[in-house]
Amino acid sequence: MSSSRRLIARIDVKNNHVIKGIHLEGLRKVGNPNEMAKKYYSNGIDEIVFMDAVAAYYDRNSLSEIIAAATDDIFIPIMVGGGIRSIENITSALKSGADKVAINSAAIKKPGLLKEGAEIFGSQCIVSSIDVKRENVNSWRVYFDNGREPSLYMLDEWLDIVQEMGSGEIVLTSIDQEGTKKGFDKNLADFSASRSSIPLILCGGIGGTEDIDEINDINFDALAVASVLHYDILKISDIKDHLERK
Amino acid sequence: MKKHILVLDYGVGNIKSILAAFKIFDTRVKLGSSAADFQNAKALVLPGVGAFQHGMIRLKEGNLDQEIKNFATLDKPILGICLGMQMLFTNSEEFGSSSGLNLINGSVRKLQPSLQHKLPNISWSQIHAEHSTEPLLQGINESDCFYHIHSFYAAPDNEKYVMANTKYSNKSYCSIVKKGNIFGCQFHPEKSGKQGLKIINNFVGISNDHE
Repeated sequence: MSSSRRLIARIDVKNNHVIKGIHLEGLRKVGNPNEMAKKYYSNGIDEIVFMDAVAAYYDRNSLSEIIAAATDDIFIPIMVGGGIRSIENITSALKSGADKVAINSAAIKKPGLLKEGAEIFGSQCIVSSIDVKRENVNSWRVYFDNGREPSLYMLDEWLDIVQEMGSGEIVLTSIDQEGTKKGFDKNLADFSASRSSIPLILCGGIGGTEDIDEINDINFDALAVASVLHYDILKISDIKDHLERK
Repeated sequence: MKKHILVLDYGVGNIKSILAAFKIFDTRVKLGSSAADFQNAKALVLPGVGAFQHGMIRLKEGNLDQEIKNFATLDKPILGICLGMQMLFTNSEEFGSSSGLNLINGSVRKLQPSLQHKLPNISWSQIHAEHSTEPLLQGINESDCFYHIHSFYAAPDNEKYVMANTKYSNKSYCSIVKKGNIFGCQFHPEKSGKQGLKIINNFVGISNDHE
């Protein structure tokens, strides 16, 4: 029996506004985070990710009020990311009502945070967020600080590490494709799917349903989208139809 | 004094959403963990995510395991969610073997993953009801999907306690258990959109019938 894939709305937040850029840069305001989340919930989205777009620079996540308001009337899983760098940060994100946290920069600086988080809160709570840039055919480097800083890790070794550390899920963003609406990097999806024994969420780059058809034969578990929803390019129900495993 | 639905707060998991979901249907829902909270409760919700052993340790620390068992002997409705369902059982094979509340005979076992069904199992899946007349499932259709996130499942020794199944890989596991007034959901009704809220509303109805 095949299982259906989840569709996740990614909402990047800066100063209480939803913003959207290209390649994680050149940010534009596109709306109110709570209103947009509520709209996507009403239209049948499976999950929502709120990302604090500037937290990595300031060492803090400022989304607790947005999360708290969202959990009063949105009854689906909520993930929060951006600036999560300690057990205290995870605790406070969960207290405001988040179900999961996405950890990126802090894990690169201190991979043990993933392990400690998984041991205290359970693997289902700890999502490893990975941003990559292509360096060669089938070779990608892991970046941090919102896609600005190259790390010492290549994708294959980093995938092994985050899984060993007990992450419950991976959310993978191609910085090259992010915000371009040119589709997900199929080689990257294939490369990562064959190295992930935990659920893999692909994020960024989807511009039309043909981009989803293009990667449908790859064994990924969920898709996170932003632009196509923020700009009303695609309907949630249409994306879900194309996400069904063929 | 009107009695409340008690959502047990023992430091495990996201209880904010459970509270918010119950408040839609019954404003007298209350978060608590003291003996007095149990005394004035008409029903109990046992939440929980994470590891079985850790959950049981937290329950025992506050003597809450005894409170729950006493509550069950009064035949008042109990709803365990996710880890809260699993802890209703005799034992779990997570980290060797740990004892549970033993309100329902059975054991908690690990799911067997396959290529398209990974661990943890994180999915919106249909549930297949064994009995269509069950009050907890009133208004639920076979096509409705519910949010599951777990690596272990609870298997009651007696199959008559299985109220609904969920498919995973090429097998099915018990996703709703019912023994008398003790209910358990492996999935998260408070995270399953409108169809999940129907289950919460149905449990509020069951609780009111026992007030």
